[in-house]
Formats: sequence, structure tokens, C-alpha cells
Amino acid sequence: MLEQILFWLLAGGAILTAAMVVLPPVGRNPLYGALSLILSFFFISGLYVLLVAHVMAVLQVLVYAGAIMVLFIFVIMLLNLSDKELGQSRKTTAQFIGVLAVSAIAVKAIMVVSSATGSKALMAADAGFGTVDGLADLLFRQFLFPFELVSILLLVAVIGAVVLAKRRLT
Amino acid sequence: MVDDLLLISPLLIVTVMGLVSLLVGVFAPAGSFKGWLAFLTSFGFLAALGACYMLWHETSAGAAFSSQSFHYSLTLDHFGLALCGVILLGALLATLTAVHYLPAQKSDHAEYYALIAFSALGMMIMVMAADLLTLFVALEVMSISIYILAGFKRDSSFSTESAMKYFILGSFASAILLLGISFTYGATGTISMREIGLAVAGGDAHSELALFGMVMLIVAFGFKIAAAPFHMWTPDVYEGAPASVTGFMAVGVKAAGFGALARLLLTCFGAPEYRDGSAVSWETLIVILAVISMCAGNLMALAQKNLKRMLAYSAIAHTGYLLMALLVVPASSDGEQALNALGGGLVFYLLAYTLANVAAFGVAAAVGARGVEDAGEEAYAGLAGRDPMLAFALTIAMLSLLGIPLTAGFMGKLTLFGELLSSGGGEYLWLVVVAVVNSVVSAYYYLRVVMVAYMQDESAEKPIALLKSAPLRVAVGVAAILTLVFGIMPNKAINASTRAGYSLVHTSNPATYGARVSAAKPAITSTVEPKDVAHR
Repeated sequence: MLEQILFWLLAGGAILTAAMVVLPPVGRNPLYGALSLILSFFFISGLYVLLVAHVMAVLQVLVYAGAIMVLFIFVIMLLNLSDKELGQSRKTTAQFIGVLAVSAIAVKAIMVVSSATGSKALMAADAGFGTVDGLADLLFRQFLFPFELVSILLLVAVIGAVVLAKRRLT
Repeated sequence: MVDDLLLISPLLIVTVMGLVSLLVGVFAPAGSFKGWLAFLTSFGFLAALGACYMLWHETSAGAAFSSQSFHYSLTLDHFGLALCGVILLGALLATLTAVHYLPAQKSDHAEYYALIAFSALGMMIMVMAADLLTLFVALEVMSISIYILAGFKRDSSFSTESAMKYFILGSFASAILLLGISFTYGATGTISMREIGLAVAGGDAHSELALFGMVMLIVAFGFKIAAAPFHMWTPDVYEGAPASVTGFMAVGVKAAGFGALARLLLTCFGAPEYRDGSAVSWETLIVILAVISMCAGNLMALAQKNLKRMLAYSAIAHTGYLLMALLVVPASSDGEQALNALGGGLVFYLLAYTLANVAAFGVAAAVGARGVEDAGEEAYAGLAGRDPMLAFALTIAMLSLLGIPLTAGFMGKLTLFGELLSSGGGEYLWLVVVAVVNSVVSAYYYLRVVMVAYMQDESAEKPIALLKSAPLRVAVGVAAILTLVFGIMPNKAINASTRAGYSLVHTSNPATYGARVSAAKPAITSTVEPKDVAHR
């Protein structure tokens, strides 16, 4: 019962704060949007705790809420956007259609998921799930190849940052 | 373990070449000519091509890796190797077109060649991926490299805009892909393609969830392969990116996307043996995408005056034709024959498309190098008078894309349409008719390029200097000659692509693939959890 209550609180909070990232009045200012995203990450981290994925929960806070979002906020503050630069928000027909389409997909997704309660057994976590041991086992044995590939992905991202941002000093 | 490294040698060679060109570039003096790195990278691609050729003969269908992590992540079969070959050929030729093009664009940086190598690596892993995690990471390696390459001319707002557009829309598509993977995982409890296939076929999966996931996956791949209605980014990105990048992007991303899509659909959502019963059907979606892509691509290409933009719309149309190759499987009652047909149609068509596009974008690079950003009609008007060889190569490329006899494009279309008709027994006759009508319509814009190149005079007020580049001419020439060779003597290539399709009989059928592997190797069957398998 407690788990249920916690889940709904955390899930509701995650969705609400995620919506606040883009929706006015909070999303009007990029800085508040980013702060709201951090809140959302904390809620999601709480959901991981409920799923017994403790390592993921800690990583979520450390990496996303900690490292990545600090960088985001740093960049937003560096840009120091004024209201004039942000411009007026406009509501276009395309946005309206987009909202409609997304809501249709969301409703369908909710219907599909709620009809799928039968396959719960399939998703039961096995012993050792979510521990550092279990995670290491997955990363360094079963998924060693994609794990190594991620290092190339990061290298590519670094090259990209340098190539696109570097200005010749002359 | 060493054997395993040999089995992935094409991937290793490309990785090493990427790293080498990155490192060498650091020590090369700033501002010096970096084109020679292109030869180094091309040599790497050539070596990897050789490794693919070697593996092709060494491997029986569906060779198994001895180490567990490789075994779960990669599938080595003729289908993957053949597509790796197509990707490497495209990368090799596209790299050569960049040697003098980049200095002319004032963006001659060593990172270019490293990024080409890494994106080729991502593409190759995509077509070999055996689980959705590897597939996703490989797709990101490919995509992020391509986003950067599209914006490589960083002082041009045109190029930067195209990179930004591609990046934002591409990230959106990646998010949809992840959503699809999550739903598929929710339905089946696994991300290994083979086990998803077993779960879907065995009825263990929640079919509605699986269907939802599959639709998301098809949408995401539809974006990557530029299928209408997910094609909006294509014209702008193709036009804005440097021509040498667009050539590589057009051929590589398409081959990788189609390879991964075909493997995903066949393995996860219905190998032919499982078509009846619980398999989730995807043919209706593919038919719709194919028809919209063909018609929209062709109709919008009619109005284009810009060579690169026209080729972007033609790429959308060709996606439509290529999607038809996938329909061979649901249309046919005989699984093995259907996969033969799929390989013959898909792989050979991709080869023909790669060669024609490399030649066409090579010419676009040659005419658009000197400060002209868009290859409008005035850029290549009267090309025949200025450079007969390039004009001839352009003509062959256009005729091949159109599908005129004696070119590879004709044989590709003939095989693809013929296989669909013969294995479907007339079920998809109407679709073939639509495709043929579309091909006829496409004659208008393909032949207009030839006409402008041969009949029109060079624009008098601002004559455009051609890029003088021997490597570019070699690449364009080789692509044109190979187009003719595969058009006149297609047998060997078609046999090889049929064999590539045939290898899917083993590797895309979850039951037989699992059985084969477990017979050869310690028990790795669908029911055993990975961590139960003993350490090796």
C-alpha cells in the first residue's frame, strides 16, 4: 500500500515537473525549465528506488541531476538570455496538431499498458537485480560489446564538440 | 577469443584507421593539406573490405562467436557481411571525393576522416547487431558522426543549419526508437532479437504491447531511411551538408538502416515460419510507407532545380522501392525462397543505389566546390563541354537511378520487382504497377539533369570553375564503371546478394538459430538466462 502511494506521488511529480520544463509560466524562462528538469530527475530516481534498482537511482542523481544539469545551467547562465532574445511565444496550428497527436499516442500507450497486466510474471526481477554486482555482470559480460562501443560514441561526441565549437585563434 | 577478434576484424580495422587518422591529424601542422589522410582512411576501408571478403568465404551461414558477449551482441552472417561491403564501398569512394573538396571549402580538418571511419563503424555494427542495445548504440555512433559531418563547414550558416536540423529531428527519432525498444522489452522481457522473436512467435509476448513497440521502431527507422512521411529533414540536410558528406550520408545511412530494419523485422516480428498465428504483422505499415515514399518523393523531385535537393527527393523515392523488397517475405509461402528473394532484391538494389549516388554526389562536389553552396542548374549547365568525363559519369548515375537497361539500377529494379511478383503470386501486382509508373515519372527529373549537362550552355555571367581533383575523378569514374559492369554482368553480384538473403534463413529464424548455436556451442538457448552459462 505504501509502495502504491509512493509510486503515484513520484510518478505524478515526475510528469508534472517534466511538463513544467516546457509549459508556461515556468518553462518560459530556460533557467527555471532546467531547474524543473532537475526536480524531475529526482522523482525518477525515486522511481528507480521503488524498482529496487539502487545503483541506477544513485547514478541518476549523480550523473544527470548532478553533472549534466549543472552543465546545462552553466551554459544557460553564460548565454544570459534576455526577454527580447527569447522572443514572444507563438501558438501555431502545427503545435496544436502536435499536441493532439502526442495525446492520442499517450492515450493509446496507456490503454495498451493497462491491458498488459497479464505479462507481469515476465518482468519479475531476479535475485541480485539492481545491485552493483548485477549491474557489473550485465555491463562487463553480456553487454560488453555495446559497452565498449559507447566509448567510441563518447570519443565521437568529444571530436564533435571540438570540431564544431573551435574557432581558429589568429 | 582470438578467433572472435578475427571474426570482427572489419570492425577493428575501421576503428583503428579512425583512431590513427585522428592522432596523425593532431601532429600535422595546422593549415597543412590533410587530403593524404583520405588515402590512409581509404586504405583502411579497402583492408576492411578485404576482411569482409575473407570472412564471406570462411563463414558458413551464421557463424557463432565463442565469447559470450560477442555472441549476444553481434550476428555474423552473409547478410551482414554483404551490407558491410556495400557500406565500406560507399565510404571508400565518398572519402576519395573529399580530398580536394574540403580544402576548397576551407574546412580541411583531419577529424573529417576520423568521423567518416567512426560513422562507417556504426553502420557496420548496425547491420550486424543481434540485440537492441547494440543496435541503439551503433545507431547513435553513426548518427552523431553524421550530424557533426553535416555541420563540418562550420563557418557556413547553411551547413550549420542543416546539422542542427538533422540533430534535433534525429534525436527525436532516437527517442522514439528508445520508446519502441522499451515497449518491446515490456512485451517480451528481453532485448535480444532472437529471444524477442521466440517470445513473439511462441505467444509468450503481450501482442498488443509488442505491436505498439514495433510501430515505434518502424517510425524511428522510417526517419533514418528517409521514408515519407518521416522525410521532412531530408531535402534541407542533403542540400546544406557538404557534398562529399551528403554522398556518404545518402548511401551509408540508407544501407545501414535497411539492413537493421530487415533484420529486426524478420527476427523479432515474424520469421517466415512463424507468419501464421501470433506473429505481429508489419506488412500493411510497410506497404503504406512504400507507396507514400515513392509518390511523395517523385512528385516533389519534379519541381527541384537544385541537384542536391533533387537527389534528396529521389532518395525518398528509392526508399519506397527498397521497402518493397521487405514485402517479399510476408507475400511468400516458402520461407527460404522468400529470404533468397529479399537478399537478391534488397542487397543488390542497395549496391546499385550506392554506386549511382556516389557518382552523382561526386559530380555535385566537383561543380559546387568553389564557393557555390548549392548545386543549382547553372552549376552543371554545359558540363559536357567543360568536362566530358564527369558529364558522362553523371549521365550514367542518372540513368542508373532511373533504371535504364545496361545499368545496375535497371537490374536492381528488375530483380526487386520480379522477386516480389514471383514470390507473392500477384498479391502485390498493384504495388509493382505503382512503382513502375513512379519510375517512369522519375524519368522527367533524371533526364533533365542529363539534358542540362549536355544541351545547355554554360552560364555566361558567372562561370563556375570545376574542382580539379584526381581522387575525385577516380572515385566518380570507378562508381560509374562499376554501375555499368553490374548492369551488364550482374550475375555474380545477384548470386552473392541472394546468398546473403539466404543466410537470414538461419540467423533471422529464432528457433533454428538458437538450435544451431546450442548444437555447436555450450547451451545457450532461449530459456537459459545469460548468467547461468558457465564462464568460458
